[in-house]
Amino acid sequence: MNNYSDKELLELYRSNDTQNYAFNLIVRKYQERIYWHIRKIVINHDDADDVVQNTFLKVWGGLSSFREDSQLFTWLYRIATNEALTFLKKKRTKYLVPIVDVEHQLSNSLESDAYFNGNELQAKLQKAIIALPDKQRLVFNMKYFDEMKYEDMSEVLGTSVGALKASFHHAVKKIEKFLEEN
Amino acid sequence: MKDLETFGPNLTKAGKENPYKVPEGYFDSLPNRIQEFCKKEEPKVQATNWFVTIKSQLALATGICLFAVLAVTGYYYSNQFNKGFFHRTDYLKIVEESGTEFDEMQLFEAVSPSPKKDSLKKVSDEYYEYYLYKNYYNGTLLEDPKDIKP
Repeated sequence: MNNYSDKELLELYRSNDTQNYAFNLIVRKYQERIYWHIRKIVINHDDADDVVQNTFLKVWGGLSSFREDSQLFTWLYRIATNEALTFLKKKRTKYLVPIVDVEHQLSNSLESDAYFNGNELQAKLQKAIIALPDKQRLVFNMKYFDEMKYEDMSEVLGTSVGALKASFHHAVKKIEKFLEEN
Repeated sequence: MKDLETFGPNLTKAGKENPYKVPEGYFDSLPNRIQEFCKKEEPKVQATNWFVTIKSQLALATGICLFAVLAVTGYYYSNQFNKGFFHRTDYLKIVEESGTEFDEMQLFEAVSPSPKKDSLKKVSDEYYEYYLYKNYYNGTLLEDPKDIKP
């Protein structure tokens, strides 16, 4: 694993000779975090793989205009989140299915997914998360699993810290209720 | 906001462990696959950027072309529409070309202006008729007027 800071990676990227090398290092540094973030949104591994590739393609296209107003990893998370949500939106419109049915499909794909090795309670937890609205799902995953700071989440999602805390609170209540009832 | 951080019993029991997994060696091959994917897609991205750059000019040119086509079409149809009305010379031409089908009277009727159907003219004709034939002495002014009894 490389030990370059984001600033050093961006400097390497700006030099024409080391652009490809720097991009490769950026991918290596953030690929797992980005992949797991996307995977928890789209659930299926193959879908996540496609979205990850599209995300880094967008990163490759936009990295030269990245102005360092935000941190590199929050910028990457923002692109990944948008790509994953766009993917789900396309899925909904492509098959003309209501949101509830997409959630149902995601739950079903969880059960048949060869790349899921959680126990019964973990499966239930994932189903409870899938049943949440998109925004609450994102907030819950980023806070609960990724243990991200609210300030960083605010940068990624463009929402105030207060609103994020409220979203997380509602998400936790709903998940607890779902787990109790099932 | 500390109370928001405390989770319920079920959530605590489920834990924070990631239940998903990936195929073996997935993250080892991903950077190279991404790099290849980006190289493959690069020309497409550039083509899109080129299109985005000239999009406004293309829209303007399309607008001008559309306007020109509409103008030409309008002019053409307006000419065709005007051609639909026959002029006096057209009647003559038609009659000349198919002289055997028309006689001179029909030609005269076609060429002569149609009588005006004017209500004022009709009233004036009635007055004219009344004064001339019914109620007015129409002898010479030199003769003594005769009493006319109704």
